[in-house]
Amino acid sequence: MSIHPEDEFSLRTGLEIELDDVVPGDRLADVIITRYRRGRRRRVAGAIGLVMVFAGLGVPLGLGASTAPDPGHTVLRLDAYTLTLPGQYQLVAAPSASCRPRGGGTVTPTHQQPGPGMAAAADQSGGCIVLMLTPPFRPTASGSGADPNIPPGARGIGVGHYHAWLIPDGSGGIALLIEGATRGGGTGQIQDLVINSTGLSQAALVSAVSAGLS
Amino acid sequence: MSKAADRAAEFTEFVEAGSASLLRAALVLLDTREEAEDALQLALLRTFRRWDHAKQAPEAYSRTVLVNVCRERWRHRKRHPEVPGTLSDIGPLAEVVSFAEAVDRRHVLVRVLRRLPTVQREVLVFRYLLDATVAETAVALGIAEGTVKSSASRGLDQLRLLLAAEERGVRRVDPS
Repeated sequence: MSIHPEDEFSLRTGLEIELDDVVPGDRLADVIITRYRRGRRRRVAGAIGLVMVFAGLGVPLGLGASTAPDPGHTVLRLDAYTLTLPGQYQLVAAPSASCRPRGGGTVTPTHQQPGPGMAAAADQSGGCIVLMLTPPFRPTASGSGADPNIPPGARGIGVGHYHAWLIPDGSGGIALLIEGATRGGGTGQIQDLVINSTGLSQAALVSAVSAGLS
Repeated sequence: MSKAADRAAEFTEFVEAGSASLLRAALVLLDTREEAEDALQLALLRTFRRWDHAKQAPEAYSRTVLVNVCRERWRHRKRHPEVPGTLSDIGPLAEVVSFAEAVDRRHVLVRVLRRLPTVQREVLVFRYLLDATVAETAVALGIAEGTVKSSASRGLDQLRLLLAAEERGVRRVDPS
């Protein structure tokens, strides 16, 4: 196999002569740059359009997600409070047989029994959570200055955005008391939120309330 | 001067210096002047889109883009072959050709090159029209350097035969 130099030369020369009159149009670069800019404007406009379409879809979807109940969770609502619990919890009438603390005693405000404003949920393993509202303790001139809802063994902890008192009741139940954050019960009075639980460890209750209370 | 203006100035300089040889290459690789001009515009447009990268070796970059554009056209033509019409379908329009096509008909060497197998034609265009080295041709066409050399040799042999046949045909038609 060989390439004769004269063939190469002849081909180069022949092509040069034949194609000497083949030249591109004037201002070809300008034409290309204009085409490029026009295409880029179209691409940018398309991208903006896509963003707007996705935003248009996303806003209603986002709103829907924030308002629609999540089928994987159980939501307890009481006045301005919402406690979102994992799906294994089921709403129950409170207090009911399935949601009664062991030993028969819930941690309830000592100076007032819980009224009808309660919400409760229980799971299959016997865990139970009850929300209720109670008027806050107000020391009187004649009485003790200590809040009877907060026994000596209680300790203050943070649960989510709230400060709460963690109160073990001595019979397997644990309660959380969140002081005076709502005007509830239809009376317009400031009320405390009490979260009673049975069948849950202290850590499980704190974790559930920290993650789900709003 | 802004960056965009710099880009435009550099690209304009490159187009003014190099677009003629690219158009001639496209004319050999494709069938008509119109197709060649379209392919050239598309190749230059793609080159300008990536100018920041292409400007390091704009000739090599644009040559590679051009041959890819031509290959896309061939593939498109294979997928969408033109339906051949009969003379009665076409009628008097058969005689109507564009000015550019009429000019193309004078290009004997180009016509003969177009009859070569694709690889040989591409190699001859790169080596002898675009003045690319064997290595540059191999990279641009995505083939081995040995294939470039053998295709160039076979292409020249074939070209010689076809030109001789063309010459004989011309002599038969025009004895003068």
